Amino acid sequence: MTEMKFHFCHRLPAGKHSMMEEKKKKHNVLVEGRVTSTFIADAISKHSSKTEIGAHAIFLGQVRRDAQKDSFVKNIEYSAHPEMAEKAFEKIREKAFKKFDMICLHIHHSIGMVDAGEVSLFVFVSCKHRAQTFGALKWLVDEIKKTVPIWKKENYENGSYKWLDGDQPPM
Amino acid sequence: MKLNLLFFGILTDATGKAKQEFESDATDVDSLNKQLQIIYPELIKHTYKIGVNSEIVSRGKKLYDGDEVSFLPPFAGG
Repeated sequence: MTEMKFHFCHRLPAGKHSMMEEKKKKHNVLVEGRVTSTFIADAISKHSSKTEIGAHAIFLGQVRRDAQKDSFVKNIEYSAHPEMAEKAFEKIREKAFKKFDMICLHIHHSIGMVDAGEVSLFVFVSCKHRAQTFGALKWLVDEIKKTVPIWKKENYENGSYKWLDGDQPPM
Repeated sequence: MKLNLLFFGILTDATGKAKQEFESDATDVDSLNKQLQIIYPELIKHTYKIGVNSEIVSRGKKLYDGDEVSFLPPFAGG
């Protein structure tokens, strides 16, 4: 599975054939449960053969154990419209490759239950130089929050819960 | 016609369900929405967009038998 994802890492050179091939490929972003540190470490180590890369930037979103009235966050339950979410991630991916000079991009977002202290979002940008990675990473995380149909239900240790407010999607 | 309704996020609480097969004579999204707001008055309290067959649409979008209609509150990923 990770091998297959790694295969999709590269931006293909512009051209009819490569664009067609790129369209056929699926980048499954949604993963059930937390994003594990082993998965993240594997993703990093697999880039050692991509010697044109000079800089990686990684964003990890982690579930906070926030205090809420008389309790604390136990976990966050992520839900999504899977098909719309994957489409939205694909759009983000296409825009990002047009906007930034990236060599590789990986995005993984949890679906289902993720406990406090665990990682639910992994964005991994690889470029020739560091300045490009910082710009791309910030833009990507902001876009994910604004445009992907994912919802968060915060479950508390005392058994109560709250749906977290989000951004209104663009038309 | 038969529509497949999907509710997400806080709207699952507002309607008490995540999905529903719904028989409706509504010909567009707006009239379906009005019907549902009568059945589930809690919906009126919330902001949401509507998707048809996985695309966010305007309220005037025509509906056809078998359409999947999604009710999408503000996104909160990340």
